[in-house]
Amino acid sequence: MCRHRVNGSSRRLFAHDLALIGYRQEVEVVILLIFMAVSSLLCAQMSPDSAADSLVSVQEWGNIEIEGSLSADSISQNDTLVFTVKLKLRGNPDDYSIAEPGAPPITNLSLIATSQANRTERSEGETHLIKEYRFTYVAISIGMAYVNPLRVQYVYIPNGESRSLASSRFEIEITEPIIPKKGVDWVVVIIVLLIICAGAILTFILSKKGRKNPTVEEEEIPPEKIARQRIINLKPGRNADISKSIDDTTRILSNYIFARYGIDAARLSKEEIVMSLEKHGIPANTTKNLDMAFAICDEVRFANHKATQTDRDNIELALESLLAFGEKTNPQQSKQDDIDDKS
Amino acid sequence: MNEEIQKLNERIAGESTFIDDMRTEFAKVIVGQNYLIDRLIIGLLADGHVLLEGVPGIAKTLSVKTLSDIIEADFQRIQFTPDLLPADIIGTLIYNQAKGIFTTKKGPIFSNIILADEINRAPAKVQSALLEAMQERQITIGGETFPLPVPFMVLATQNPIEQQGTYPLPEAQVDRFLMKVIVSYPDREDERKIMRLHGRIEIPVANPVIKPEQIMRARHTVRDIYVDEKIESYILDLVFATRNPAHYGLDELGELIQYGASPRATLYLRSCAQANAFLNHRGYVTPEDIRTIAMDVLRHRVIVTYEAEAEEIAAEDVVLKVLGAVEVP
Repeated sequence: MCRHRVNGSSRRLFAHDLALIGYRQEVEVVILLIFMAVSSLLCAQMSPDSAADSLVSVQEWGNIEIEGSLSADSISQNDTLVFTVKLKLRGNPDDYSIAEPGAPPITNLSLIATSQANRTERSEGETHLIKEYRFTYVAISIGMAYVNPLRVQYVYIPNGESRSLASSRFEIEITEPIIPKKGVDWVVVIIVLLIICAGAILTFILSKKGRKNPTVEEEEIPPEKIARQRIINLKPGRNADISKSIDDTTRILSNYIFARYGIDAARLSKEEIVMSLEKHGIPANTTKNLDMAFAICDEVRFANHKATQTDRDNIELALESLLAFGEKTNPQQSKQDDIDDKS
Repeated sequence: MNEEIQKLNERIAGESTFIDDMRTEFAKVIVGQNYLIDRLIIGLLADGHVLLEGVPGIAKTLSVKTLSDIIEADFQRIQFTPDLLPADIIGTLIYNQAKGIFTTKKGPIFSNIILADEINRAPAKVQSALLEAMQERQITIGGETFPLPVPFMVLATQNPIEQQGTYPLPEAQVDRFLMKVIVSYPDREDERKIMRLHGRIEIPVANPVIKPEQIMRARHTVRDIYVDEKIESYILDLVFATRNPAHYGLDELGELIQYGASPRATLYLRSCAQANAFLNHRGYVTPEDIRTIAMDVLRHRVIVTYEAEAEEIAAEDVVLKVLGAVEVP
């Protein structure tokens, strides 16, 4: 089946004031861009860099390994800190019975959330089970905070041996909350407010101007009319290269199906297009013609088929019957066509 | 139409009649699952192996068994377990005390169709033994090399819901499968038919309608199916879009794809599309054929990043985006 990219802009053509509409859109986009740039500048000044995992400790015994880590080595008051403990089990994970550890209490920090996740990982041909415990705290007061070792008790089931592993002790400094620098930030805030106000006024003026002029209303040209116009444009020189002519006609057909029925004929299979069109009430003889038209186009494009005049006629017939059905089932647009034609 | 393609079309029209017979026989035993059945036939025609993933009880094993019944081929089902050994699959040497020599005992892999049930339950060494055989199509036991029977096709199954105690197939091994097919539940009406069909005392059985020799002949014909340069470019665009998404206007996929599809994907997209054209009794490939099989060929060859996994973006989502973005000829 033939596929062509449907040109989105060809779906709708607005009869009047395209230039004015385009101008308004451009102004709105420019305002939005300025606003985004200024906002990002402001945000960059206000937010401190967040560090990646800065403290990590690893303890190991036999086939089990514990790794503790903090999301930062220094945080501000009211910021969050994530304490992550990973247990890495090698060999058969069913050999271990592990007591779930509780969240360690930390001075100056308040626990706000905990989570636990299991995942498997393969390295050096072995599968490891990784149990990950995450404790999220919020800094409630300024000073030093000490994260005591998290002790994990486990029993090695094959020999009943009970052991425990502990993560290292961490310390973290909690500093004063970062307050935006007054001088610079107020200027930026004022600039942003001014830009927003200016944008609002400009948009209001443009919309008012648009309302005064009744011709700004969008008038949609019926897809049947667009398709017919394109067929007329094709006629000169169509006999020189029939294969190209077939290719172009099928392109018009695909574009029309997309514009009228919203079916992406360029990407769907013949069967899918026909089934979708049948749902729109297209008569069986029309869909049969379309199926044949798409098959011819496939042969021309993908099987080196030397197209004939008859092939082209068949495709044009299929397109014509579909256009006729479209006009019949959209009488308002057909009426508009008649008015346009007479004028 | 081009004369050669015209002749090929006529040849295919004659040779592909068995496809309809196969579908009829499948329908006697399997209700619905046309997607799965088509993929099995494509795998058979494209001379590749298929990985089936789906929850238990959705006719994966029955479909494979029915396929072997239909083509009059030997069938072996190997249940993969953690204690399985490579010798349990490929065979071993046994000492014959009476004669004082070692004799070869061939394993179940010496069959036309192998169902490797729950392949991810066996350790890596067993998986490797099978996957090497899949690639080489021969087995070496005690220094002696034995070719595998022709046609030879491995259909492996995986259960997506149980991951504990499993050994996921490494990416390099998964790449050897022609297609990875996700098998889904039947719809309500199909399930009603299943209930009625399999509730009888007499269990339906498919009749053999095709011989292995016919399959081999069909494979030759499939390889002759015409692939236009535009179609070749489309295949290359799809594969390269998984490797360099930014070149195809898919900047957002850059961070989601760890590894793009391998050159095997290019080869298999072509051969599967040819097989799909054969299924439709056509002597040339269309973009529709590529799009029909692209997901099954690419989903296990596109490896997503950890970030993508964290955002619950699967390889299927990436492939869909690629299919949506790459221009169809």
